[in-house]
Amino acid sequence: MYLEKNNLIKFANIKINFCFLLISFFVILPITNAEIQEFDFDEETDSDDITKKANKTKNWTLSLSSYYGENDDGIYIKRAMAGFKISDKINQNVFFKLGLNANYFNEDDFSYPPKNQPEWGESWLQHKVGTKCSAKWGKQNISWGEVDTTGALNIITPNDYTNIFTTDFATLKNIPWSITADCYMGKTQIKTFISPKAQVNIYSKEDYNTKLSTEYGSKILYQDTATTYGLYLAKLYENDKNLQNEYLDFNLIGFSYSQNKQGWVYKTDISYRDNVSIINSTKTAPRLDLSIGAEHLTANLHQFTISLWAAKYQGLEQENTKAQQPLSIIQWQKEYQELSITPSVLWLYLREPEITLGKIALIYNYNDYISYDISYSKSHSDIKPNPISQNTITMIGVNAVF
Amino acid sequence: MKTIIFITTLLLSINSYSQTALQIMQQVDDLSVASSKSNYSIAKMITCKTQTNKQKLKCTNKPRIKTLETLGIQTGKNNKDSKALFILLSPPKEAGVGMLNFSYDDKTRDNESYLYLSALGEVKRMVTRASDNEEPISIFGSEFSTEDLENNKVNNYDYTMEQDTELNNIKVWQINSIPKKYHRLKTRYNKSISWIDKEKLIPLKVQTFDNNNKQYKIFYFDKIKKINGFWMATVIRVVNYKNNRMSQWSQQNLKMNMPITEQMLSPRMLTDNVFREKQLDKIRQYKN
Repeated sequence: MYLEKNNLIKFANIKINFCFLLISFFVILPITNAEIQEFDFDEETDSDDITKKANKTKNWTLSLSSYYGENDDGIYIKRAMAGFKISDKINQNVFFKLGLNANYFNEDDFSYPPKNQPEWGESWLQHKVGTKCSAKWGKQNISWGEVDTTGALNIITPNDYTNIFTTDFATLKNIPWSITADCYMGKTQIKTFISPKAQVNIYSKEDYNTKLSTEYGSKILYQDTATTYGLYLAKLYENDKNLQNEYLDFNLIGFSYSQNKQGWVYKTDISYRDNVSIINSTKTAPRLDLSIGAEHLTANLHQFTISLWAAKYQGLEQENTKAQQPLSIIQWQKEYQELSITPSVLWLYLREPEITLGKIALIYNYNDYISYDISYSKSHSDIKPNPISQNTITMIGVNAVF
Repeated sequence: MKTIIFITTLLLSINSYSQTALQIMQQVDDLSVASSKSNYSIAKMITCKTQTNKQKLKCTNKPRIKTLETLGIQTGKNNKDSKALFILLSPPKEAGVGMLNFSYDDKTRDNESYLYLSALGEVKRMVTRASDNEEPISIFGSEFSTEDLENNKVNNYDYTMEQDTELNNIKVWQINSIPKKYHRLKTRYNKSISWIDKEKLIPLKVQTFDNNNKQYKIFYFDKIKKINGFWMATVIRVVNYKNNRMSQWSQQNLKMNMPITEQMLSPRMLTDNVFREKQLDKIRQYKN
């Protein structure tokens, strides 16, 4: 009941804010070309104690958010989330970050019954090791490869599909507990990780109980002017179970490359896995993966992202070519600063398991602390329910960070 | 981050007599570069929608306020390259976001920008500006763009002396700048007019025009103080006449000639918290 009332309030707020936006758009007078003699700002704008205020910058944030969504059958998303984060240095050689999340899922939510108890957010302790290295212990996001959202190399941190996303796939991440070490030597960076219990893609509460063994790996990045090269070696587990209900482990070797050219960032990830499950088959085979992507940001804050991913199994029969997993993602967004809104369009196609998704979304930053988002997506899928596989979802949310 | 430079570091006092527009602007640029060799500051950036009423510029909505910690050095041949680091301290949802800018004087070399998104723990390359058709981008959503934050590349412009005049009772030269043919595709300003303080040799106001010769942005330099022998504008405002928005960059705790090393402006500063805090503490402890 509380949530229903809360959602009504949210809807009302959104309507009020959109009215406010429209009125602002037409009523605010343009600046004239007359010579400006004086600047009149309110409160702290002209204060001289910026340093004092900056030094008081708090090292913690509290975030609150609530989401409501409907699909073709009725209510689909109905949840509230609270998060607390604190990060600071303990001394000159030690830094920490602590995150705690508490989620409340209504029984109408697609992820119900969920894990309703508080969970760790990103939480780690980092300390220096010599002058060139540092080590980080705890729950942390491990980013591999250059091409976001594709699976050639960006697979160390799997996804939790009981989470939801508006435009950013990063909110789906199922962050692993791990130990990482980073060493910086001129233009070269070496990063090694070991996760005592490998994480997998989460589709329902039951998946949280998956027990896997250790996975580990290293990457070496070399950054030259406008270009980055990467070499990757790892022993990993598959993020999804196969037809035998197992998560197969495999060895991986990979290479990445990115380059800036004429305002675009071009990216490539290549990987070879020695033994992975063939989709919709009980067989296994070595696999070669290729992801390519491009990103562009214009002066008018149009942002374009294109990502393509394909895989080729060695020795796969001709008729099973659907299992080559081609994934295509095209994304556009533009920030209208004067209106504080960011509309976006996403199109995603995964061939096996088949998912086609189109999504339009709008984020409205009411002020520096509160934002609203609304999205409409239409999709076709043949896999189990998750936020990107339902037919039509209309979702609104409000987020506050203090 | 020729950033803070254009923004903060503007020049010293030299008695000047009858000089050509080019000589004056060269002095302005040289002093700008000299005064921004290795600086640290805490800055506050305010952006709002605006309107004017009786020559008074007012915010018509609640300003968006960001606080930043910044480091910058001039490096390379003749100190014409610059490297700068910005770390957002507030608002809370953006705290920890960092940006690293490498800007090169060499026309054949791509500029480099890295954006660190703390929520993802990921560094993203942003833009380069070596190509002719590439456009500058906004700095953290403000009306300052990457182009505004660079020192003037004096050789890229033709200058003409418009007049000796006064601005707010200060004697100034009014100088027109037109980009040379090869530079036109690289700038969003087809023309600019600068009001240069004759005594302090710093700009007090710069008016820019777009490719249709319509008024685009005006920069106002305010709260001018002498710091370490250099006259500096500690508050800079830019009014964008195309979208009726303005941004103000004001800084305190400006520390000049700091022992900032190239290592302090490496991508490691974005991702390695322990390293970053240790390096910043070395600079924070200095008093100007």
